[in-house]
Amino acid sequence: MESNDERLAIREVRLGATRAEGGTREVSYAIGGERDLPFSGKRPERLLVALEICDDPQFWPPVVRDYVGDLANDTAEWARAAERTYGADLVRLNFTSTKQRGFDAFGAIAATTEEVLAATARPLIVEGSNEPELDSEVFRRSGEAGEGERLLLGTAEADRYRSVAAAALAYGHAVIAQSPIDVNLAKQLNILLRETGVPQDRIVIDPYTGALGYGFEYTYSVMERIRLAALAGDADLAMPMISAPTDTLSIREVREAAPADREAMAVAWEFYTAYAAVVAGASIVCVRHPLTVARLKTALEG
Amino acid sequence: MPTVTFLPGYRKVTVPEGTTLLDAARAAGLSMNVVCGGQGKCGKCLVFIKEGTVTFDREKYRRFFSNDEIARGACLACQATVVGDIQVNVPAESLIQEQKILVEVPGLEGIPFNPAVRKYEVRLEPPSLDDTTPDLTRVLEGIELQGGPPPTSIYAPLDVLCYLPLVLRRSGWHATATVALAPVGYRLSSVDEGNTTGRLYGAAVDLGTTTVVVYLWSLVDGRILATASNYNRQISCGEDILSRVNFSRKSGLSRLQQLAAESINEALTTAADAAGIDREEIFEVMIAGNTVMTHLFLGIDPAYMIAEPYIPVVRRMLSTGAGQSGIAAHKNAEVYTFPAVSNFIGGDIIADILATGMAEREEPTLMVDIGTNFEAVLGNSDWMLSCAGAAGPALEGGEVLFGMRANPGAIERARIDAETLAPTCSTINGARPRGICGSGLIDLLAELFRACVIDRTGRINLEIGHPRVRKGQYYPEFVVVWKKETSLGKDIVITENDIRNLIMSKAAIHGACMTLLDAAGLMPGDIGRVCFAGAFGNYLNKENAITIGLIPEISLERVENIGNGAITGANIALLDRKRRKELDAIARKITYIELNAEPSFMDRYTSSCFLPHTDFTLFPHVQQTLEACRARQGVRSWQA
Repeated sequence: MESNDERLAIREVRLGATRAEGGTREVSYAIGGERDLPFSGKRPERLLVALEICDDPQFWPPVVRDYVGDLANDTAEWARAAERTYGADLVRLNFTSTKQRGFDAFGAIAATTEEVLAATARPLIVEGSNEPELDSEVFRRSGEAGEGERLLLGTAEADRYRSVAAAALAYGHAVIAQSPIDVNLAKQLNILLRETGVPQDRIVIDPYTGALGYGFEYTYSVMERIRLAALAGDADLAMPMISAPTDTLSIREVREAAPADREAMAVAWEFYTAYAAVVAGASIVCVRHPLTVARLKTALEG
Repeated sequence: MPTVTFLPGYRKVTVPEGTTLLDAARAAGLSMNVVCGGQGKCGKCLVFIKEGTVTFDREKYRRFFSNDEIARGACLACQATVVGDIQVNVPAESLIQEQKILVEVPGLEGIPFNPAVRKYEVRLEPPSLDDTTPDLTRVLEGIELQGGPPPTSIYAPLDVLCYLPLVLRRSGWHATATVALAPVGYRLSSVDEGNTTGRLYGAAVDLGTTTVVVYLWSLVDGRILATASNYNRQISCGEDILSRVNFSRKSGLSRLQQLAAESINEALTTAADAAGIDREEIFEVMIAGNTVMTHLFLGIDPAYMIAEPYIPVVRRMLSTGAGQSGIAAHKNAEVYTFPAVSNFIGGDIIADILATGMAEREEPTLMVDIGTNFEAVLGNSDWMLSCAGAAGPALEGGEVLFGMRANPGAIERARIDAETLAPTCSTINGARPRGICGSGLIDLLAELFRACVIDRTGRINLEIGHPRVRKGQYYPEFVVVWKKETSLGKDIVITENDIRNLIMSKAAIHGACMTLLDAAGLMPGDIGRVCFAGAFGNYLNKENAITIGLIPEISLERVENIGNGAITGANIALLDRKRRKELDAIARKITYIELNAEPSFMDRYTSSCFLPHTDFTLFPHVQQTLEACRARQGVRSWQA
């Protein structure tokens, strides 16, 4: 199955920039470069685990808030702990504050981005507002604050990709391109981004996923199709993939678990879903529970 | 009971309280424009309440009205119900108007003339005690002497026998016999006094869901005498097929049968009057209609076609007498209906196939008929595959804010200057624009795409910063015609939502074409030619149709518009009895692919919901042209 044809490889996307690369990270990662299906040839060199944190914990799953306690109220400390205490390879910063009604604290977006970048030496993923009205300003502020750090900005979708793309282009970042579990839609979004001018080695595909047991099998087969198409020469799908099974912490089995079991249930569910995403070909998995990070690191490195 | 007065014609009607204005208008004899069939979805049945009140949820349908219209008491006739006496103003736009219905059909010259009805002038020896041959035998022998079929093969209906003795004696034994080749032998349709051999006519009919087209022919020499067309009167019982079937289920079948016959008769009469002939001398009528229309015309219950497992009652070619089916022709005229393949591939499609001549060729032809629904057939003289589906009403102007049928004032062609974004539009009849019809919508879609106003998913790029590109009340929109140049008093726009509907329509059609090609193991390049059938196809800009990915990319000279294939096919079957005989065989040869049961269709549909397609390798030429456009626009090339 191994191919030596340069064209048939997944493009490498570099995330984060060290001092030598013009940023301030201690490490930068190159993801992608695969030439075959996951685990069919040699193991991917690096599988990355990102811990997702947020700037307004009222919009965060209780099971995570209970575990991290006061950290949830200090985004920078939370980011520091993600790297130092929990062992995450990357931090994903979700600007949940933008979900507040009438949000306009754009200054805080830039400040938080800077604080988090100062608190962790790992590459940073930034998740914007999910609100088309706010998107362009949120991405602009955050993108500007992280200029030179090769952030991974999310999330571009077919009906709101211009603002993410603009910020990525202006400040030299990469983009997460998310489409709803469909190989054609994934390709279409990549084409849209390409036509906006985003270089192909700055796009990471998020095929989107539900929790294991909640439709993950669709995601699995779409990830498989994306990878197969890429290896067959479809340049518009030859990007590494990221998976963020964020729904897992709010499924019924977790919500309704006995209080004593809830944490274990949440971590188990998040772990297995994320692990399955890795098996399907994800280069980065994003999780929210700190204990999941440790478990994934053990499983992936063991 | 309240009285409803419709202005400006002061048509009055008394209806029970709670009647919708639409039903009241129908009762008053007005044909309102209800593209959605009266479900409050299309907004085309706009009326203004001048006096009195109605029950109407104005907020719910707010999106259909401008502020000015609200102030003038705008409501939707299909959703407003009568409370008391009222006066209602009906704008011309809300009424069905004379449509640009296709009556010019190319390629009529080449049809071989070999009719199934003939007249024989007979001069008979009067009977005597020496020759006691019965009247009928005498006539039949006379026919044989004139080169007609042998007496034993001719069936004579009772009504002819009843008047036969009188006709023969009154004419002094000089009469003209009309003999038709019926499916089961010959039939003596009529015996008339004297020589009438110069007057023998036939009619070909396209019985469409929306329109009826009639061609009147001389069956003596194969000359065309007149054509006529009008709306299918069944429209008053629902615009689309499904609503007709539902109407029929509510014990409306005989009404629909009657309306179908009336619609045909109306056109037949117009044509006969224009040609100066007597309808009584029409001896053959060939009707091509879709499966539901054919069932309704014949008075056969179509109800089992719209529910699982979707079974028509009959598929083969049928013939009835004109008297029996209520057609205004000679009462013994044979009325034929085309055979069908399935509930979706009906007689109209078989007629299209006949018109394309694809069943006689070796190279594969892809025929696409775009109308209220779309049907596609791929094949040659050996095999044929077909499928059908809902293209959505967008291509016919439904579910498009300023969409309309091909009526006067409809923008039918459009170009957009890539530099200035100024559109150049031409309308049907050159009237002031009041909407956009299917071919205009396709032009606009292609032109907006080339001018980079929309991206490949059809989303309008608001960052362009041009006065014609604006946010709109609900969706981003592009102003096609400014208010002052229209006949509406408001800007004619195409919205992002309209564009999305159009893209979904074209994706369904392209997805169906690809499904057929794949089932046949062919690539687009293997197609010998693509034939567009249907009124829509005739006005379509081929290049734009390919640019948006409506059909697979193939060189333009291999794309043909066959126009109204249903009427052409009916003409051929009327004039050439040999080709008529092949119809059942063609219908049997066609394999129907049910798209809903085809797992790959959804995938093909999604990949086609993109301009022109997610897979550019299927559209190499379009891709090249677009790159040139983009380069001109100064947009970064996608070959980065």
